[in-house]
Amino acid sequence: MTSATDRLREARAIDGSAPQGGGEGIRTVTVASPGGSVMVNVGPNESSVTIANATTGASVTIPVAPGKDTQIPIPNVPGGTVLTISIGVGTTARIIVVQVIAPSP
Amino acid sequence: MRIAPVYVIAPLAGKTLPTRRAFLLASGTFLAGTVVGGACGYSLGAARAGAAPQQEPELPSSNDVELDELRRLAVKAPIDELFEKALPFLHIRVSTYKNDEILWRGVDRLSKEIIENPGRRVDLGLVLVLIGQIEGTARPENPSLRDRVPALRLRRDELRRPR
Repeated sequence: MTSATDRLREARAIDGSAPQGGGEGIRTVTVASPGGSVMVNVGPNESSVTIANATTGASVTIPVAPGKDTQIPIPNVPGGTVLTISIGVGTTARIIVVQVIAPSP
Repeated sequence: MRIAPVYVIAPLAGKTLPTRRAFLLASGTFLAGTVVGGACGYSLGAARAGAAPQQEPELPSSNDVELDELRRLAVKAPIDELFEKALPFLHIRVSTYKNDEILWRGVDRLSKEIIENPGRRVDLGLVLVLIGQIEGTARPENPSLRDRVPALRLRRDELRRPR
């Protein structure tokens, strides 16, 4: 059975980055470290992304550069927390799920 | 100028019904058709109503267009449509309408389908969000959802395995 740290290490083993997730309108990684940051790339018509805790719904909106890569901070949440990074509103929003994995001390 | 008489042969008169009798015959046929058709339609409809699955009652209006749409997704929308919009559905449910009882039925349908239909293509992220919401916010009076968490974890682990 692989631990959370192993999974994070495996995800970053190839080129130092985590696996990519996303599709039309938004691209980012699918794993992150608590208190760290992730690179987000949004389409040219988007100027902000929303990071939300998928369990509690607490969210924060962060401005990003349209059409460019932007580093956004990951909240300092416990390992195992599932976050969503989204653009747009309503049922047409595009959402990427990011799992926060705490590295071993 | 001389005018000569011409004889035109008239066709033989056919056997025709008197107008009154024809009207009575047409009316009678129409009435008989109506009675037989109505009886057949009623019996077919009654039989079909008895055999049809129980219809969902109409959803109460909340005077909130977004909430009504989410409720429709949760309860009435085809399962494929619910899966297509599952992540936005779960995101809005937990961030805006956390206390809406009806929306939990969407969580119920999603989790049930993921467990009972291994052939359905499911995103790992969706399973993670479902587990998180059921563990983190499911109500005590909804224990069946918590009972599904172990099976959802198994599905999550399957999706994590490299292929």
